[in-house]
This record gives sequence, C-alpha cells and structure tokens, in this order.
Amino acid sequence: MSDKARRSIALRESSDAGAESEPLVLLELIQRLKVRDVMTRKLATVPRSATLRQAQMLMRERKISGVPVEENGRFFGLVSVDDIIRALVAGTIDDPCHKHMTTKLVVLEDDMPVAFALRYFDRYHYGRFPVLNRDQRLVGIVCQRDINRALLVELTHELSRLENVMIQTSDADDAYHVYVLREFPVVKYDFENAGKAANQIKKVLQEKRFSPKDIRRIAVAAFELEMNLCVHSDGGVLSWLLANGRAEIIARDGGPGIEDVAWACRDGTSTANEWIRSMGFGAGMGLANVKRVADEFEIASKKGSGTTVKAVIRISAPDALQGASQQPG
Amino acid sequence: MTVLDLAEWLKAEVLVVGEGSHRAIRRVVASDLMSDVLLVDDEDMLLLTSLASDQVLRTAQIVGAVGVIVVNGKALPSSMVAVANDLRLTLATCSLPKYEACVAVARALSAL
Amino acid sequence: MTLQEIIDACGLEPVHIPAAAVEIAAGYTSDLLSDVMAHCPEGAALITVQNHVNTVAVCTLVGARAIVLAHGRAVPADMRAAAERDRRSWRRRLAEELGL
Repeated sequence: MSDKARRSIALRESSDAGAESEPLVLLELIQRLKVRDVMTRKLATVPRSATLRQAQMLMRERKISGVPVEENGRFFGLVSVDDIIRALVAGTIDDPCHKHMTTKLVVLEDDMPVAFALRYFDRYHYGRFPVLNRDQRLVGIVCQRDINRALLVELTHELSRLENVMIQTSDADDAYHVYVLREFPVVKYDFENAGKAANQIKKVLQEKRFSPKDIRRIAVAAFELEMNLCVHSDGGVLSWLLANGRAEIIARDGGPGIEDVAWACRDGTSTANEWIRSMGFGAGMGLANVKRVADEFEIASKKGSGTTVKAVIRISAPDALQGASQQPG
Repeated sequence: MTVLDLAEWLKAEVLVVGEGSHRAIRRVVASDLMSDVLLVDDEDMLLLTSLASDQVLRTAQIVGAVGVIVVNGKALPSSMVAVANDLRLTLATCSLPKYEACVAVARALSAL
Repeated sequence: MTLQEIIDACGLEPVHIPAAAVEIAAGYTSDLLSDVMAHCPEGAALITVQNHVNTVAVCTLVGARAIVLAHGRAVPADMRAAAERDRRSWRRRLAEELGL
C-alpha cells in the first residue's frame, strides 16, 4: 500500500488531543443489545413435581448446570448442581423439586440492556440468570457464555461492514477521498455533553475545507440526531462515516422506539416534556430538519425496541479542487 | 458592524472574543428555541437569546454564528466561557431585555 | 401607539383583532413561557414563535394585549379559539428580517 493511500485511510481519525481509546463499538453493542437478544430460549425445564433425580438426569443430558422449575411459563425456582449434591448427601434425591429448589433468586428482565445484565454477573457471581418477560413468565436463561457469543457475532458483522466501506476508498491523496469513522456514545438527558459530538464533527470538517454549505448540512444533521438521542431515547450511539464524497450520520438507540414514524418526522410534532422545552429543545423539528438538509434519509423503529436513523449528505469537491480549475486563463 | 461593535452599542460585557469577530454581521436572530436557530442557513449571524446554557453555544457553532449575546441580564454558568473558547465563538452578556436589545441592534444596523 | 398603527407600520397580517384602537404600552420578545410569565409588562405586544394555546393563557395572566407570531408561524385552530375566548388581539407576522 502506498504512503499516499495509507495517509488517506484514517480509521478513527481524531482531531482532538486526548481522544478516547476505549472500544466504543463494544460499548454501543452492550447498550443496544437486550437480554432477550442474547439469551437461550430453548429451555430444558422440569415441573414442580419432578424429582431431583429427574432434574439431575436432564442436566447431564443437556450438559447444563441449572434447571428452571416452571409450569406453562410460570416460574417457581431453580435446581442447581449444588442442590443436587446436597440432596445426594441428605438422601433426598427422590424428593420433588419444589421441596429443595432455590427460590430466592435474582432474575433478569428480557428488555434489559446487556450492559445492565453484566453488572448483575459482576455483583452476584451466579453462573446464570433466569429471564422473565413483563408478564413475569419465564422466557429464557442467560449466562456469560451467551453474552460472549452474541457479542462475537455482532462484532463480526460490524467488521465486515467496515471492511466493505474501506474497500471503496481510492488511492487519491486529497480530502475528498478521505475515510473517517467516528462513534460517539450518547447518554439519555446528559445535557452537559449533548451536542459535543456534532461540534467535533464540524471542527474536523472545517479542517478538510469542504464547502460551508456541505459542512453546515452535515453538522445540522449530526446535531439534530445527537439531540434526539439525548432527549428522546434511552441512550445510544451516533456514528459518522465520511468516505468518497459521502457523509453518513447514523443514530442508533435501544429504545423506547417510535410508535408512528411518519408523525415523528413531521414538523412541529413532539413528545418532549416541559422541562426539555424550557432548555430550548423538543419543539419537534429535529427529524424534519434532518430530512430537510440530507440527500438521503432512512428511519426504522419499533415501539418497545430501538430506533435507527440514517442521514446521507453528498459532498461536492472541496474548494481547493474547484479553485484550481477556475484559474484565470 | 461586527459583533464587537454591536456588543459595544448594547453596552454588553464581552467575555470571550472568538474567531470571526472582525466580520460584518449580516443576519441577527433573536430566539430562545434552539430548534428554530437550527433552521437558519445564513453565515455571519449573531444570536441574541435569553437562554444561558452550553447548548446555545453548541447550536450557534453548528449553524455558523459568529457570536452569542445573552440578554435579559442573565448570569452565565461558568461552563459557557469554556465552551465558547473551545468553539471559538464570541460570547457577551447584556442587561437589556431581548426586545429592547433587538430594537437597539436594528437601529445600529440601519444607521449605516 | 395603537395596535392598528403597529399593524400598518410593520405590515402584520391580522388574525383576530377585537379592538384595533387599543394602546400598546411596550414590546416583549421571548420563546420561553416561564420568562414571559415572569417579565412581560402589562399592555405589551408579545413577539414569539410559540404558536399554541399556552401562549394565550400566559398572556392573559400577565395582561399582554397582543401576540405577534413571527417566523411565518401558522395559528392553530385551538390557539385562535382560545384567543377569541380571551378577547386578545392576534397578529401574524410574515416577514421577519429586522431592518437589515
């Protein structure tokens, strides 16, 4: 690869001193993924009347170290290897499960972000957690391995997406063909930092000397999407991709989801509360403004899960190139 | 007139002198709704507002304002000075209510 | 200055004018209703972009005499109805450049 090409491919370019080096992609993933996205659903369970011996045979057969006790989705407790060993010692191995199962349990909810669940693993040192849905029905079990596996799968997807984009980068050494990827986590109601990402993006763009109109469009789209994440979502990530004359701003969050997307994109419609309006935001023009400045706009959302908004701004060649071709003859 | 000229006219206290403080102001926007400010497409703009928050400066940078004058004699949070410096925006405060500040600015600009 | 004189001088579009001869004592501009409640002088014309019923309620409270909606904002039906109930005078301003 030539030096020119090397310089033009700048992965995670940062213009500010002391830029973070923590893995933002990972952070975004564990905030975006919910427990239900990573848990094991096909469960081996036993009813209350089954014996501990039967539970133990199931554990051996399925190679698991814990069996939930449930009937028709109603969750009663957990039989673990420890419970089996104690029963063998006490001679109660043929007792029904409900007599000796563990009932004082920590359970997780299926719509909890994985980031949250990880704290439980840290705090409680249990190998697994039963997962209940909003109706308190048992829907799965999650253990550390499940989380690791899911993260690996998602990271692989991220990597292939990045690799596809990189291949499109040409060898030319000019600002137009530069490749930049930056990701910024956005925390709900974090007004101290809200807008910072967009400000940084604008600073970088100004250094590249694109036209002021293009810079403004990208900056406005980024700012509106960032404020949206801060004010209307449970938190998420703002990513910015600049390659081959296209700027892509993508805002992804894990909830709460938009019920009526068309309504949300209309001018003047908003679900913001008074406190947010008193800070000068929440007038409901955010998404409509993004649509106005972008060349392409996509939004996907589901009530109860997450939202992804993507804005693409096509950039005209920077001043330097245009200036050169307009030299007086 | 530049943002510094207008600040002087308004007897405003200038806290930060930013980039572009020498440029002639071509548009003045008086608003407390950042969503409205984000619709402005003009360069060399001065923002007059009663809102004293970092977000005002962040919004101003996004739309390319050269400076912000906070009116109504509002006390500014100390963070605003740091943000103005970071974003290279001129920041001033003025004791006039927004309406009177607008009238004064309009008079100053039409006197040219 | 009367409301009618202001309408004529500034080229405002009337929406609901129960009394065009009413004296306007002052001008006030703010988009934060909490600020209007705290500082808007009695007898003032409020210039704002907040085009909803709450603006009418606040103006009634503080004794403002007219609401001028700037930046091309439309008057929603419920806001107009509220004004008619409260007998406020309404204006809608179409062009917003202040003498530039």
